Amino acid sequence: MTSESWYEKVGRIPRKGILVVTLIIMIIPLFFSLNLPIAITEPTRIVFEDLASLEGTGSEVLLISRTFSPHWGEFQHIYWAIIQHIFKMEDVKLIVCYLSPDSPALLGRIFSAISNPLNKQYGVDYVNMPFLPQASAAFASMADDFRGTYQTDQLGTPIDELPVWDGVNTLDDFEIIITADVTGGARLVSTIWYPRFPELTYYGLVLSGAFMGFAPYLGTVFKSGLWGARHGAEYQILMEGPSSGVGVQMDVLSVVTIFCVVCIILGNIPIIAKKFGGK
Amino acid sequence: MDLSVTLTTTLGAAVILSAYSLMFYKENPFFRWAETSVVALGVGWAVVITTWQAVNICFKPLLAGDVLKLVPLILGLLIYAQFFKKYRWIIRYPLAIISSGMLAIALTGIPLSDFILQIRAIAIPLTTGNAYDLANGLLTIVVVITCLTYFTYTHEHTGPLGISAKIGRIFMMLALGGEFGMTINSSFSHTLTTLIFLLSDWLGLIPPTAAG
Repeated sequence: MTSESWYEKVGRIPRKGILVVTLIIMIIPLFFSLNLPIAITEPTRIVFEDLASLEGTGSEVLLISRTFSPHWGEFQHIYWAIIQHIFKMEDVKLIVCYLSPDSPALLGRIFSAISNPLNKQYGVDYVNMPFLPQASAAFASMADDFRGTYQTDQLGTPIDELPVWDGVNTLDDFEIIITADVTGGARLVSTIWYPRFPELTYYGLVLSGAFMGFAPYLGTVFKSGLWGARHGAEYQILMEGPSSGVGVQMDVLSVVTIFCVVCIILGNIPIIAKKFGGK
Repeated sequence: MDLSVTLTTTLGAAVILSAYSLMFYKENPFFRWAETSVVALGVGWAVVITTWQAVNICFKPLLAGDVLKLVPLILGLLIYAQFFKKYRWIIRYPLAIISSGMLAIALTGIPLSDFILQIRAIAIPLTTGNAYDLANGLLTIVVVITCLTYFTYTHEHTGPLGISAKIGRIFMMLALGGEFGMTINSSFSHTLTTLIFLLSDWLGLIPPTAAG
């Protein structure tokens, strides 16, 4: 009977054991903060500074949400940060359009949590529009006639009675357009909106796992974007400073990523060792 | 704490723990309960929201005299023909109209967004005068050319073409590896959210975080 070499033992570490260790590694920083530094990256700074420049201008921001429940874990940080920032500014209005059935309920939690503390009035400072099915048809309709796409808001109030809609007729009337989708709405914005409204400023909120679908349009169609919990945390820090509380979550992600890299290296050792015939 | 909040939080925790039971044990009734509950809830929610929207977008204007709404209504109803074996062929008509419409919408923008803008984006960094942009631009050109040669099927991948294709393959593997890494990172974010829910909202062991 031949004894197992060390690299064969490494290759046979049970998967469930690795999962348990991963979970423990994720839980520890939640109790004992490591306060790892978070550097602010350029994409986050661009979005933050552009939005901040709208303060007091009476500008309208359009947020297109096509987020589904399974993606909420990552998107929630970005949504919280962006919506909080818009609400903290004076005289910046927000129209939110929903293109997924899950979005109204998901974002509704944010609006109900922060609209009152930040003194934002529904219908005056922000409005939630009803869910529209068929995203590509909705994008095309908005490009043709944004105001005509909707008759009422989510609650059934005619848009003519909502002050937030005053002066909004076409996409041209928005200072900034933010699309939140798995790929930041990259395909829809770049093929339907951008050819007709190339002068508008587009930002994408993207699921980090789908970044490749957004990357080709970053810098060409989209001025910038935010992807992953990391960018949400950066944005929160830009608004509230390092005491925002998101550092704990970033600690967890940093530690678990390091553990993941260690696992990848360990997992590759048996393969490389076998290839070169080492013991 | 409100009883309804306690109940929904406990139910949420039960679903999360049942879903995780698959990873640490094996397929079991708790996991199947969680799986079917989540799917059923998602589908039920989508059906209600979509039906409500169909009423608002189609039925209400139709009853108000907008007869043009009859066209999408009939096309939509034709999709249900798939439930009847004899009339299943009818579904091809609404599907053809839907897909051709979507294709037409997308195709008009593709030449600009996927070709002209992408080609221009390669050239722009070369013209800024910045050394970093220049290096980045040159690297991008090398990546684009080598990756494109990998997909050249009209010539055998030998000689310079073969070397270029091999380099292109390495670049693609790097990109796919990066994408996979980001997908894993994305999964960690989702797991972290559920952990925070369990430890903060449910058990109250850690304080609520800024991200809610």
